[in-house]
Amino acid sequence: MTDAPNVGTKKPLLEVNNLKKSFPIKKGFLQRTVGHVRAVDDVSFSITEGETLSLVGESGCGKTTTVRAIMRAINPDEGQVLFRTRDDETVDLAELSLSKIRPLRRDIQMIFQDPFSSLNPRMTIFQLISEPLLVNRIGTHEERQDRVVELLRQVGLRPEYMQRFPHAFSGGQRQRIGIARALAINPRLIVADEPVSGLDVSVQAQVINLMMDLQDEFGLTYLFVSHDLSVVNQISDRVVVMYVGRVAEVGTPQELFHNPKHPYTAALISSLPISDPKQRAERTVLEGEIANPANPPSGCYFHPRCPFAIDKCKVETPPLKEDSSGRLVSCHRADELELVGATKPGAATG
Amino acid sequence: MESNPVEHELALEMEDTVEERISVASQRQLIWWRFRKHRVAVVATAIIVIFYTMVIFADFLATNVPADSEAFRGLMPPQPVHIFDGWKPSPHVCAVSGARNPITFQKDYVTDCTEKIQVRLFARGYEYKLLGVIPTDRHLLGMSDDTLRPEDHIYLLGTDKQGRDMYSRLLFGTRISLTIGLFGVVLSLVLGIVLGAISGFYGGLIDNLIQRLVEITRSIPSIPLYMGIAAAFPHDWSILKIYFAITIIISLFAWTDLARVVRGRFLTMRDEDFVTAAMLSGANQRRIIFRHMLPSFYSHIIAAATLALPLMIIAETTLSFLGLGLRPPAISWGTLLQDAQNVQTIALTPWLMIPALPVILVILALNFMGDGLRDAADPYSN
Ligand SMILES: Nc1ncnc2c1ncn2[C@@H]1O[C@H](COP(=O)(O)OP(=O)(O)OP(=O)(O)O)[C@@H](O)[C@H]1O
Ligand code: SF4
Ligand SMILES: [Mg+2]
Repeated sequence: MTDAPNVGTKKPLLEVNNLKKSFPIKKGFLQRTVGHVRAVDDVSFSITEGETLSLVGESGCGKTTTVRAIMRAINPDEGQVLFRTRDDETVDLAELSLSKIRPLRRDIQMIFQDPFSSLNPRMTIFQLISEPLLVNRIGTHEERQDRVVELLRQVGLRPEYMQRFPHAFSGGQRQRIGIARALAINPRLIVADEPVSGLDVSVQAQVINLMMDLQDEFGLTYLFVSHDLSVVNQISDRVVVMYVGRVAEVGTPQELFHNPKHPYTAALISSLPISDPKQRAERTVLEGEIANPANPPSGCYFHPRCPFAIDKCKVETPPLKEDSSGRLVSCHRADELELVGATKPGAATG
Repeated sequence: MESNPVEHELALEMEDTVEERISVASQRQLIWWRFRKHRVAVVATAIIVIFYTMVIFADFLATNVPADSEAFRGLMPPQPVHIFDGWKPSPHVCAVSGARNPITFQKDYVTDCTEKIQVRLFARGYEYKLLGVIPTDRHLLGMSDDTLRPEDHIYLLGTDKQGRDMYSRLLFGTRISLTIGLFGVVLSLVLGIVLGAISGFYGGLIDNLIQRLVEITRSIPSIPLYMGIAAAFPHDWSILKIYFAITIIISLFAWTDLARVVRGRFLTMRDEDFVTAAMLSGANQRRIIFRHMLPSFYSHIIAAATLALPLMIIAETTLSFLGLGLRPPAISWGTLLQDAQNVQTIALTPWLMIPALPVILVILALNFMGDGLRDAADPYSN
């Protein structure tokens, strides 16, 4: 785990408030809208400068949609995306026009999941990595060349490979190229959407380590997306657990692992492979299907699968609020439940 | 944690030069290497290159003015070139003389190989302008001046009813048919790319309108429509005007396929990660379209165009054959084949059907070449 900087003492770099995005479902000859997929349904969190915040959740819970809406690769329906610029001004990325966003793009860069489709196969490594510099008119050709050499060294690739095309590299190497591209214009926030889930397990660790080293070296801020809790545990300072477009719980990895407050988090953690056989008896098995975001259940979206659901859960949506211990949870029963974490002392005897 | 990149580098250092060559090969080179493996397509491409060279040098290759008619030499059989006279190399053709058969009133021709007409390369013939600019009277093949008698003639592929040289006419017909196809493809390429790109890139209402236009265009039966339009051509239009009118009409109907290809490509491209990546790094729309999107599928466009070309050529040939397209005295494969429309031809003057051979050859070659290009351009083929 990285040494967590003094989280909380600094002003947030990015603050997301009540973000919503739904996609119309179109059917039939006339392409009539017959419903909406609520991909992101009221998501709020904030990221402090220098920290790594992770979004976790099952496939389809809206992680990609959240980060794409933040980056304005798609337009959010509602909510605020407050970003603190270099001049210490706060702008709402959600409401700016695309032409006003363009100059801000150099502060927020992205690392993609698929190292194969995210690099244009027709461009050389030099052209790829220097593109952010070129389109933002930074430096002369020679300066850009020097910068690419420097970046390739930083991500552990040899500068001689500059004239090669992406097809000559392995998945892990391509992901390093993607990281170099994201670093090229010294962004202040790097959004990484499942940067390692397309890689072999052995290569995953290398790339995660590289990202953590670069963070230490350049004081980067990461918004990290993953569905893999063990990866998240390794890299994050804080974690946002999402379920069907909503935030279930926010906390540090230790808090979530050892003392989950939301039944969904507890279920996710107990689904991790564990070495201690005594603990197996205590595992909460997630039953039923993940809710359909086109037709979510009433009340708490998790209630059809929740072993602790009460009548209130079926009608009333739990808000995301601080519980008695100051943790952010959206569960009606957060204060009364005693949930089992990964290695909670005495868990086996219960 | 730093040891792993080093391991990677060591592995890369051990690559041999072949891999090094592939590493720095652009996408275009990779496509070319893949295309080269497709032997049939390479042969087909060579055939197409030869045919278009013939188009450019039709005058130089011709032996007679294609429009010169001599009624008394009508329907003469071909005169093949003999390279040896006994054992002595002496290129010549045999003289052919004819008389009218008093019973059938047909002309009967007798080939008389004792009378030899010497031929040579780069002989003098009718005057023309090479490539449209250099005036000359040299032709690839012709009769030698020194032994020439006024009644000598050379008709390599025989003559038609009006006594016009089939070989020269075939060259000029090839010129018209192949360029009509090419212009038509270029025109429909422009239409297809522009409309397809707008449709695929912007989507929404514009896309919907263009797609309906494509469907309407495709649903119109072409032959009756061509008939209608051909009937509407003023009869006093020059050959050139009709030529262009036909090109435009054919391409107005042929752009839809290309528009579909281009639109589909743009739609899938728009969601490609590397396009999003370019957008997120601050690239403007022009750069995204011209630097990232279009280059990723121009090989597909070339393949689609190559496959559209034979359809164009067939369309022109069909129209002219049916008397709806170019009309004599214009020469095209269609008008040449019009002369071979009856049973008599097959029985008595089979050489009039020779123009069918280049049609078949070119159409097949274009199809093989297009298939080869498409396979080479498609990264998922192997
Ligand atoms: N462009 C779109 N049009 C319609 N529905 C969409 C679109 N993009 C995403 N969705 C839907 O929104 C929901 C959330 O998708 P999203 O890709 O954000 O999930 P995710 O958490 O990133 O999942 P994964 O782990 O599979 O990447 C899914 O149900 C998905 O089907
Ligand atoms: S609100 Fe109810 S259903 Fe939802 S997680 Fe809490 S206990 Fe379970
Ligand atoms: Mg995703």
